[in-house]
Amino acid sequence: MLKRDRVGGLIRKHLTEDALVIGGLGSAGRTWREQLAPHASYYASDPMGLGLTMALGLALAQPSRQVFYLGGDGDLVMNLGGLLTVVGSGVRNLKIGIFDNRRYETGGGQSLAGADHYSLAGIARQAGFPYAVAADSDDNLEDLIKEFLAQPGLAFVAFRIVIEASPYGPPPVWSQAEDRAVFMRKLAGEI
Amino acid sequence: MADQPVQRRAPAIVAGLKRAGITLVSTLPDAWLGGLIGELDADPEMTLIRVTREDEGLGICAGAFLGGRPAALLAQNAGLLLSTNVVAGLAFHHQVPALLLIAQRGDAGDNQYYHAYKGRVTEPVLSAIGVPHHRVEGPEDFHLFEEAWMQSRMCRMPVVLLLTRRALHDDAE
Repeated sequence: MLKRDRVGGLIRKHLTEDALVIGGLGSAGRTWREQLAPHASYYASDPMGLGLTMALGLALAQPSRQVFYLGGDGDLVMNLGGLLTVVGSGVRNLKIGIFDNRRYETGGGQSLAGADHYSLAGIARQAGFPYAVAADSDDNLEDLIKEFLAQPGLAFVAFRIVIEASPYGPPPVWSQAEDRAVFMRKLAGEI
Repeated sequence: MADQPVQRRAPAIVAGLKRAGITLVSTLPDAWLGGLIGELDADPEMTLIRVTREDEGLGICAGAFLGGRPAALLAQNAGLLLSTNVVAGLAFHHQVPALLLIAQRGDAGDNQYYHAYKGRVTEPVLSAIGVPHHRVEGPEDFHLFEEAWMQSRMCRMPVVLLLTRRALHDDAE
């Protein structure tokens, strides 16, 4: 089992600096925000379930850049069919990391439907991902993350995360639209 | 009236999208949209992404806009109704544009009972959430593809074009 901050830190360490990042809502997004990474990053926030395909849209719009999506399992399963959409799109510049703790952490820790009866990596493999693995041990985590990020095409990792509280922080200073404008202007090289 | 009529209007609709600068379209099919989807799929200038639910297409539109590429969703009004929370979230939370091309099933001329309710509720729902929408009745309204995208950009929110049967098909004329 893995700690969110450890996974986030290793991804920050090995993700190329020109990669673009979409952070999912809840603890996954907060984990990435806390890394204070230099990468241009946008947070999918609400509506829940939208993060994966938002990352796909960004990858389609920026085919010369790597796009990394870090989301939660509750967010993913809300639109699980999105995995088929991603594979069917033929996109190659998208890497997907999912925090797999099988509960809605921010919502209070309630269990996901079917928790402990499925394998997200298995679902991704069967959906057609050429690389889809589960990571549940810290022993080889850094090597696995390096291998994941070095994949030439679409890749998926389900990180098996320990239960750690992840409460809401204080009200953010900047609105979603203000964050979006900063991301887009950063991407455009204006700031 | 056949349910899957000829769609000779499809090239003009694709041309309208290109005039708007839109070359990325996500879609979930409807019988009225088959010809248009085929036209998009066959056009090497267009990228067509098949989704499993319509709100995925809205996510693609949002992400594409973040990356500087205008995008559209092509679907039936049932999918728009399903995606109402996402449309509102893009409009008021993320404040991103997207062009939504929606087959207005259940409108005058639709011959299926199970579509009728959608024709009754789609426009009131869009009015309730404050998202701009326009009816495209026929080729005389095809200027709306460019204009609606401009409105979407200016308002930083999705704009919906409700495509009537006559806008998609010319077999009734």
